[in-house]
Amino acid sequence: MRGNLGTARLRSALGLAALAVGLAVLVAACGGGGGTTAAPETTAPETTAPETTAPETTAPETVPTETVAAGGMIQQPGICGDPSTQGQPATGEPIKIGAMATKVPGIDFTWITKMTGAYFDCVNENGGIHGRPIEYIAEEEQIDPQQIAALATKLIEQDQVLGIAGSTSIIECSVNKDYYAKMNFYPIIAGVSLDCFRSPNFSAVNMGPYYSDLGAAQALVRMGAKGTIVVVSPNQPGYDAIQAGVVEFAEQNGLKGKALLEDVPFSDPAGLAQRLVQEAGPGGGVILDMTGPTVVPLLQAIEQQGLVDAVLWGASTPPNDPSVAQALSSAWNGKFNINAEFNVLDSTAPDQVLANAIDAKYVPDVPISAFQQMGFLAGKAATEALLRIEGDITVESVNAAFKALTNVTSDIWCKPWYYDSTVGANVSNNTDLTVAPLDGNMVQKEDCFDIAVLPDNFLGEIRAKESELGLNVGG
Amino acid sequence: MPSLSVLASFLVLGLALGGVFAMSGVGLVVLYEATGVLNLAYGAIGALGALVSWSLLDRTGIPEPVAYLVCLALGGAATLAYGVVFGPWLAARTPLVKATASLGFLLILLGTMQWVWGRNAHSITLPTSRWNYQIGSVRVSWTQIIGFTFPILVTAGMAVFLRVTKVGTAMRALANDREITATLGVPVRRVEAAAWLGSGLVCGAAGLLLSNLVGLDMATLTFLVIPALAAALVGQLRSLWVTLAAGLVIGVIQSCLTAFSSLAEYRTLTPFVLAIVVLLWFARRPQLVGLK
Repeated sequence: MRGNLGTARLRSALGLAALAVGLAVLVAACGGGGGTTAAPETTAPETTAPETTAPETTAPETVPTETVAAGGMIQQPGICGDPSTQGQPATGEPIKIGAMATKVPGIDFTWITKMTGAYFDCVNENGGIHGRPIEYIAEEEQIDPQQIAALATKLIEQDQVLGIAGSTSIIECSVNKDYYAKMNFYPIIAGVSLDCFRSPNFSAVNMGPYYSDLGAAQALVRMGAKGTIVVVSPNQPGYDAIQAGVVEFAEQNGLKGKALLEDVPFSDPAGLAQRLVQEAGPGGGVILDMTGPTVVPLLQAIEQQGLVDAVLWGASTPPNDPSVAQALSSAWNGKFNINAEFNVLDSTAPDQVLANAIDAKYVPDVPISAFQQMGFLAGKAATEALLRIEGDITVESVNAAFKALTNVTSDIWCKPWYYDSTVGANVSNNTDLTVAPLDGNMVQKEDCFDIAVLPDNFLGEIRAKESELGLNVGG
Repeated sequence: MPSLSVLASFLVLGLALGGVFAMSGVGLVVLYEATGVLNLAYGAIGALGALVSWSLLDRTGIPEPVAYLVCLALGGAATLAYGVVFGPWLAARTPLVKATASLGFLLILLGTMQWVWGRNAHSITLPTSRWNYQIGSVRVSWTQIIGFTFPILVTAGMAVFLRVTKVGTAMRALANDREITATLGVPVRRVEAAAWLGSGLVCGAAGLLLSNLVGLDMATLTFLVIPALAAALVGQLRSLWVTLAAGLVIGVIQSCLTAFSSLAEYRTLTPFVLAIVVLLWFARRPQLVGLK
């Protein structure tokens, strides 16, 4: 009897072990190997390695520009839409604008499209585009190339959108860049993969994780990091390409660069904290390329082990999040140096106040975050382009207006934004700042600075063109 | 090769983390012995308790000890509620079906937590995490000391409880044969409810400790049931002390592997590797472990 019971128990144990493996698969599906259902990675992976060959030197000039008005900003700070039509609801035939965003367990970029849509709602309540409302069609995709290609076709050929604004996707830039070029579409996006920054048919309101990590490395070097700079990112495909800039920059400055990939969420943040300090060595620097909810347990483990001052700590943009500042103790005051692609989120400057008001009114489920800022800026840039159109609003005129955007100003950016650098690689947002937690708030620690020029990151050519063409000198 | 002082740091971290894995494993074993249910929602229930504590501390300003007691109580209540509602329905089903049902409970809890608490960062810092001692190059907090010692006390307490109390004896009888135990007049439902409640209280305590040792992240805490499950499997879902030892070994190995750059990325495989090796060893050597 006992033997039978024992054998049955062993069978049960083996069966349950199989179930445990199933559970592990569930963990992986939910992002255990790189992302989490609870903590989507805002620094999504770049899906292609940095280009080492020169991009096209000029974007195709196949859209007319004669219907686009020149001059300064029509929209004023803190106001959505045309200042002369505030308070008047838009009527008439809608102007269709499309977008798509990644939404899978662990990654949700739909906050960006929701916020862009909210901006358009605000515009529609305040005169629309020369009296006409914007109809925003935002699709969700699941990182499936066939689905993404089909959605682009649906938006352009079936829904007949006139332009694309606010799209944010892990692989869309790589999948649809040729299609958009063929159709002469010039989307205004929040970029993720390097293709979003290396293709003439996209321009992103953000700079993406590659450049943000690089900005964090610059800050740490300025603060005196010595020995080794370590960058740690989620263990997801493509992150090695993102980390390459940090390693290259460290070596350029006589330091060692080391790139680590780590499964998220962390199963033992205290152990990881020890490892990072060990890898960086005394006085070294560590850059955390993770989301806010992911880094908080690590930062707490660092504090509990007395490692806050062992190295210099930095991060890419995502932890620039009020909830991160609130979760950290005063031990971190001024010591967690976050590269911020945009202004601090509790800024009292007009556009950030407007963004927060739009968020609260139209999409209260979207947290005040860098994603909120990206969606707001994509909406603002697209609206500015539409308002600048003189004459018929068509596919040609909308995309010409998008592509012709220069000197779009907002207090959320360090410098005015433009669409086309004319070098075939658009990194219009290439200047940002450093923020750090201080008594429960994120405060600016360093003024705006230029992201470093590296041999492979095209910023040298882009800045030369900016200067030559006066692309971002407005304000 | 890391220095001894570095390894000592990882050893301390591993003992604390392994202790909580072990405690969770012991809770799983006690429940499995009494009810035949391997509760895969164990981590999710702990996460729920910890998040409710966080909300109470953040939004109501109630005293810290009260918030922490709520975490324990919620762990007990949620586990008991599941056991009372679904336990009788599933009583006659196989352990695999019962475990799969608890997986459904896990998913419901995880979805609820995402809905209520969203993706913002949350954190709890126990007062014991603020008290640290420097022993040589190793910094030890009271939370780590509790993480190591409390599970030993829980295991000892459980072992004594099962051996000397009427309810404990009834639980052991249920583990052998539920139907015969019932015909002997043992109030099966009440004994099972006691097992669910006790297991849930342990689960709440583990959630609270892990929210400090690992972080208050709902997904992380939910899936930390895996090392606890591995420890329980090594203990063949029967031995509390083997489960305790296995949990500690998993924690220490996993933590110490972090110190080796070439092995660090494989450290999360530790519970699987250990459980598989031990189960295969049991399968090949049944006579050595009394299974033949």
